[in-house]
Amino acid sequence: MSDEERRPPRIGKDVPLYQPAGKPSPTVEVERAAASTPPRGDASDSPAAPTDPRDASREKFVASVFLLSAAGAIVFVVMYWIHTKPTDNWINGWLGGSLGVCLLALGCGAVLWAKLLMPHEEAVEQRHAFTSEPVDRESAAESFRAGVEGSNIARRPILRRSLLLASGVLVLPVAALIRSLGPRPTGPELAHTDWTPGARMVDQFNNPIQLGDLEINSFFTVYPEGHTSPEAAATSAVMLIRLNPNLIRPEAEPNSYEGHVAYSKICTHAGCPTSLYDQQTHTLLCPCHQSQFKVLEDCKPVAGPATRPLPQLPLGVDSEGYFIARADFNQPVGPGYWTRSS
Amino acid sequence: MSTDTADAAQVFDGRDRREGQTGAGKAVGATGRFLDDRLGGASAFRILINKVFPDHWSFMIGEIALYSFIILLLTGTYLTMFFADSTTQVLYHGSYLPLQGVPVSAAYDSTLRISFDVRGGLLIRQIHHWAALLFVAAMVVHAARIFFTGAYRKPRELNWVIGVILIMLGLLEGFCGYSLPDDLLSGTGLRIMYSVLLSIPVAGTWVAYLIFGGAYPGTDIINRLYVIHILLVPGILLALIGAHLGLLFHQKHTQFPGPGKEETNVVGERVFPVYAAKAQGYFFIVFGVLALLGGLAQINPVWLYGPYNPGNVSAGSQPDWYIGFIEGSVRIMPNWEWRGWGYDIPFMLLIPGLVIPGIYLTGMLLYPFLEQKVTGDRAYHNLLQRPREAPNRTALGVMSLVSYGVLLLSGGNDVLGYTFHISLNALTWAGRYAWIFAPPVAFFVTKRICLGLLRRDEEAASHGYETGIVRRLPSGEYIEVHAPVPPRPRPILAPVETTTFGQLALTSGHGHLVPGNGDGAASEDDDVNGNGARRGFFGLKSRV
Repeated sequence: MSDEERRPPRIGKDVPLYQPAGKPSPTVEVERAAASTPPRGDASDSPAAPTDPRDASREKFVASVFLLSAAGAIVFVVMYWIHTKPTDNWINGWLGGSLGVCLLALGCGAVLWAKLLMPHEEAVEQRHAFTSEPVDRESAAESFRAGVEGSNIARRPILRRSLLLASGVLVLPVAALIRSLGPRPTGPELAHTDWTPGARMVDQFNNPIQLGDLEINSFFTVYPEGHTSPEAAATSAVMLIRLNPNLIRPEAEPNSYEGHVAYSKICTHAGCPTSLYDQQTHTLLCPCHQSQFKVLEDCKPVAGPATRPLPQLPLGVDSEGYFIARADFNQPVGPGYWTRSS
Repeated sequence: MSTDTADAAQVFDGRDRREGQTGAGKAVGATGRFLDDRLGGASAFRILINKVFPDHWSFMIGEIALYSFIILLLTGTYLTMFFADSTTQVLYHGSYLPLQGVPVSAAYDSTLRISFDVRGGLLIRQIHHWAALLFVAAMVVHAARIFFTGAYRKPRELNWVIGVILIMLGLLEGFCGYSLPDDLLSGTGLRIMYSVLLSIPVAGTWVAYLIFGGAYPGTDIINRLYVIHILLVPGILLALIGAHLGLLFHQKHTQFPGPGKEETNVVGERVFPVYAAKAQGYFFIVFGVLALLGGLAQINPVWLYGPYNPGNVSAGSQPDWYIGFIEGSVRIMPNWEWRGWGYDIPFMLLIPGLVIPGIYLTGMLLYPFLEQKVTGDRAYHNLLQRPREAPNRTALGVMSLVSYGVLLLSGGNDVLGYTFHISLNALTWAGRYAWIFAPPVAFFVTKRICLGLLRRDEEAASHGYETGIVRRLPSGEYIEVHAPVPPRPRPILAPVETTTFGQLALTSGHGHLVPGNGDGAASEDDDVNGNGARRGFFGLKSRV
C-alpha cells in the first residue's frame, strides 16, 4: 500500500461531493486551526501529509493477524474432516478453538487496522432540534382537527357508539380462539391423581414394589401401575418410605403399613419433587427452594417457603404382598391455587 | 473532473463521467451510480457514512448485545435444522451410550442428536447458549451505563423504554430457549413457572391451562415455546432493536462533556472508515470469544441431566443467570399464604414469582419519567453526567443493583452453602435481612461517596490540586503548595456541518471549536448540582 493510497481523501478536492462550507455553523463558531504539525495520519490540506515510519511494520503486523485468522479457518476444516465421528474426544474443543482463533484474529485485525493505519480525526457534527416549528405543529393539529370534523364523529353519536361496540365485540372471536388453547381447568387433574383404590405401586420402570423390598430408613419413588408417563408422574409421584415402626405417630398409623408410609412427592410450594431424604432427621427436602418437611410429623413444613404438609397416601398391601394405595389422596397435591380449598 | 459540471443531460444520457478512474474507485463509482439512478440514495448514504459518533469504551457495551443477538440468530437458525419440537416419546438410539434405549422425548432426542451426531452441532449449540447469556448480560450492563450517566434523559426516554422492553423480551426468550431441550433441569424450571401461573388469584388455573394446553406438563408446551422462541419473540426483538438503533441514529449519540463538546454538537469520528472497521472488528471479536467458549467451556450438558421426568429432580437446580433473581426471590420468600372464604392465594409464590420481578422491571421502565417528575428537569440533555454528579440517582441505582444482587445470590444459596459450608437456613435468613437492609445502606454509602468526590473536584477546581510540596513561608508558617489543574489539551476538530436535512457540507482541513471552556477551567453553567468541576475526564482523546 503506497502512501498516496493511504492518505485520506482531501475533503473538497479528492471528494467533490463535499462542498467546502462557505459559512460557519449557525450555532457554533468555527475557527481555522493554525496549520501546525498535524497528528500522524490526520486529514490534511497539504499534499505531502507526513507518514509514520512505523507504518510498514504495522502493516505487516496486521496482515499477519489476518493470516492467523485464515489459518484458524483451515485448522477448523481439517479437524472437521479428520474427526468424522462427532463423539470423538476433543473434537468440540478443536472446532471451537480454531473457529474462535479464526474469528478473534479477524476481528482483532480489523480493529488494529483501524487503530494503527487509518487516519484519525476529531469531527464535529451539529445536532438538530427535534421540535417542529410552531407553524408546523399548528398546521398538523389543524389538519387533524379538520379531518375529525370532516368525519362527523363528534356529531353522530349513533355512528360513534355503534363503531365502539363493533370494535369491542371484536375481542370475542379472539377470546374464543384463545379459549381453544387449553381445556377448562376444573378437570379432575387438579384435585385428583391417578391413584385409585387398589392401584399397585411400581417404580419408574413399572416393577411392582413388594413388602420387604425396602430397608429401614430407605425410600422409593413410586407411581400407580400403568401410569408412569410424565403427565401421571407430575401429580402421582409418591415417596414410599420405610421407618422404624415405633417412630410413626398414632395419627399417621392408620394410613401406614408395618412401618411404611407414603407421601406425595410433589412439593406443595412450586411442584418440584421433594426428592432429598435425610435419614437422620427424617426430613424431606425439596431441592428447588429448600422447603423441608418432617416425615415423622405428618410431613409438615418446617422450613422454606412451603405452607402445607405433603398429603399422605393411604397405604396397603394386596394379597400377593405388593404395595397398593387404598384410596386417592384426600386433598389436591402440589402447589396451591385459587380454588384449591373449595 | 467534478460533479460541478454535471448537469441533467449528463445524468440522463448515462455516459460514464469517471472515465479517468481505475480499479476499485471505478467499481465503487459504477455500483453507486447504478443504485443511485434507481434508488437515489447517494445523499442519504453520504449522511450515513459521515455521521459522527463520539468515542468512549462504555459505548461499546450495547454493541456487544447487538452482536450477540446477531450471533444468536445465526446459530439459532442452524439449530432449527435439527431440533424437533415435540414431546412424543421415543427410544434413544444415538451415539451417547449411557442413555441407549431410554425413553425420551423427541425434543430431548434431537438435542442429543445435535450434540453427538451432528458434526459441529455441539459447538453451535454451546455458542448459542453462551451467546444468550452474553446477550442478556450485555443488555443489563448497557442499561446500567445508560442509567448512571443519565443518558436516558430527555429526549431519549422513549429509547430507554424500548431498551427495558428488550431486556424483558430477552428474559422471556432465554427462558423459552433453555426450556426446549426437555431435560431434567429445564423441565423443573417449567414446572416452577407453571406453579407460579397457578398462583395468580382467580384466573391462575385458566392462565396455566391455556398456556400449557392443559394440566402440567401436557404435550403442547415444547411446541408452543418453540414457536415463541424462534418466531414470535425474535421478530419483536428484531423490530425493537431496529427502532432502538433508528432512534439512536436520529437523536444522535450522547457524549461526555469536554473541551469542544457541547450540548449542541457531537464530537468524534465519522462512521466511515474507522468506526465501521472497528464495529465490524468488534463483531468478530465477540463471535470469536463465544466460539472459544462454545468449544472449550461446557454449558448445559443436558445428557448428564437426563430426560425430564416430573418425579425426578437433581440437587443444585439453577436456572440460567438472568432468571436467577426470580429464583432467589422465590427462595427467600417467607411461607405466606392466604386461605379463607373458600379460596387460596399462595403469596409465597405469587409475590416473589410475579410481583417482585414486575416491580423491578416496571420501576426501570418508568424511571426517566419519575425522575423528571421529581426534579422538574424538562431540558434536553445531550451531554452525559459522571455518576457522582447526580448523587441521588447514582445512589438509587446502586441501591437497586444491591437489591437485585441479593436476590441473584439467593438464587444460588444452596450452592453457596455447600461450597462454603454455611447452613442453608442461615443463608435464607441472611438473604431476607439483606434484601431489606442492604439497599438503604448502599444508598447512603453511595451518596456519601458521590458527595465526597464532588467536593474533591470542587476543591481542585477552586484551589488547585495538592502538589505534595510543603513550603515554609518567611513568617515561619508551613503551607502545602496547590497547583492549578493543568488545562486539558484541545482536540483538533474537523467540523462536519449538517446545515439542512440532506445538505451535508464539510469544511476541509482542520478547524476547531471555540466554545469558551476548552481550557479545562470550570464555568458557571457547568452543572445542575452547582459544582463547576466537570471537566470531561471521560472520552476525550488527546494526541498532542
